[in-house]
Amino acid sequence: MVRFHNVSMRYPTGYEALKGVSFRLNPGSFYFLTGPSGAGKTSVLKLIYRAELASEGAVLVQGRNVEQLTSAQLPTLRRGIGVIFQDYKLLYDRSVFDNVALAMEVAGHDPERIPGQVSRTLESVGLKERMYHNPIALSGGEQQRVAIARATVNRPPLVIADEPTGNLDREMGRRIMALFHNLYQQGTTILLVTHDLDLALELGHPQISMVDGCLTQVPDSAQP
Amino acid sequence: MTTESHPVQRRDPGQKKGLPPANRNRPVNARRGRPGQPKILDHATSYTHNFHLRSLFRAWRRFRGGSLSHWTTTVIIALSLTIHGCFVLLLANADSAIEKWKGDNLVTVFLKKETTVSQLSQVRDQLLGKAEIKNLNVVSPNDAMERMKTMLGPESGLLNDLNDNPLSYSLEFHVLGNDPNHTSFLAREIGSWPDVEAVSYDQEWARKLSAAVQFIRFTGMSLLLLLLTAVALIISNTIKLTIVARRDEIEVMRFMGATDMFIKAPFIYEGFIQGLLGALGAIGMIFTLYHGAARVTSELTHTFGFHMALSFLSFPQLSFLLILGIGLGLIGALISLSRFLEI
Repeated sequence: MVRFHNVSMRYPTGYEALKGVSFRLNPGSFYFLTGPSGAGKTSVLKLIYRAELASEGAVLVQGRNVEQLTSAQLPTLRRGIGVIFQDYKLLYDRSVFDNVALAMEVAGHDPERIPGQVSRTLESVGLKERMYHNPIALSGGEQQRVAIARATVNRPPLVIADEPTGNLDREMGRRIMALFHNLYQQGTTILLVTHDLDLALELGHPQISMVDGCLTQVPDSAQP
Repeated sequence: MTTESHPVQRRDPGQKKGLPPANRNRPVNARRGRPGQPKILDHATSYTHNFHLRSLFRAWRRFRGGSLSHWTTTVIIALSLTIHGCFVLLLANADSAIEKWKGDNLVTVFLKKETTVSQLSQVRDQLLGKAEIKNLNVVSPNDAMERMKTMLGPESGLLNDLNDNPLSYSLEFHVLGNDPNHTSFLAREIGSWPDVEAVSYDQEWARKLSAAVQFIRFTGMSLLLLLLTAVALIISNTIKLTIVARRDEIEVMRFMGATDMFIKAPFIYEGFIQGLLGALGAIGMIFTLYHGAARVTSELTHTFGFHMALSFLSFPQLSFLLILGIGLGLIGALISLSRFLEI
């Protein structure tokens, strides 16, 4: 599903975020990407949905080198990836429903399918009752669930999440993790960035660990 | 016990827009003034099949609920196109008047005051001998006085104080053909005859007016070009402000896999709406101004004893105005998108 070959990444400021990173994610797997702040976890995610480009090496998603994609092919790649941002990136000028529906609109789904699919997805994250509220009126946990609904409403084969429990208390963190576990059980490949090792250990999924832009621990199943 | 925590930093656009906290906690549709439970139909109907129609609706919603700058820009477009339209209206009517004068090609020969009837006949015969002259008409001093009285209207009483009619015989005729040089040559020749006091002909006026109109047309069109360029830049700036205000939305859509066209289309339609509304507003204003000007012109020309009706812009001219407005809106949007929106 995802393959990193000796990937290095340098920001224009000269800061080297990744140094020779290699790993792979098999379809239908669930990995935690752990490490302290500044380890390069978010950079790995950005390379997957091509918000950034690698300075060296190659990033392959679903068999395609993301660097070689044309601007016309890029939207297709991104539609196959559900991205959950640490700061949610919800749009506060519209309802929860419209936030989630936007993902379906963007993907060009049949407009008649949108209301039903959005309602079902919001129901699966326990927010059906609040779908006409503005996200600003929701708690942090609820906003995170809206972000998960938005990322998964198109049923992408790959979901990547950047610190989805970073701003939440332990109990809400567990609930959010349960949602990811459900997605995993439905066959979605998941890469979840966290620095909360306890929460990662609770679920028991394998961890890829990073420190200072280098991989320090890669499970056998994720070896390139 | 609290089961859900709030993020450390959370943006609050409701606060930015000055909404009270109570309003921020109400359902979105209720805040828009729809009573009761919002219906799913509100959303279902907004997801129309046609991409462009959907983009147009999105652009209209943004425009309607947008900042004052959108409406200001539309008013600027309307005013600029009104200036353009009035200018076209003025030139079209001037051209039409010039053509009418040229077409009449009327020449008036004023004889000297002391000219006798036999001398008049002589001049008349000389004129009739010229093949290019038609519709020759002799105007007696009394007929000329009557015409002047009609022209002066209520003020004609002033002429009653005259003891003697100061006007002389005159002859009016049309010249065949539409060559101003030939008419000018003929007028000079007739003017040199001993019994002729003066010769006046409409084509001379038409020629001078035509030259003036040509000058106004060139100068005016150059100024209008500058004005319309400025308008396109103002539209571009307004769209830029929208792009900046919506950068979060654009970024989110980009990472969701939106195509260039999906992101750009609402901005393009926004320019289209501004241009269209501006052009329609301009047509309305021009029509109002035309009505006022037509009434004044009619009264004024009636005072001078002739009738001149102003004509409104033709259908092709109105269509051009509409296309110009829409074109300006689209150009403004495209300038902005190419400069400020990186997909």
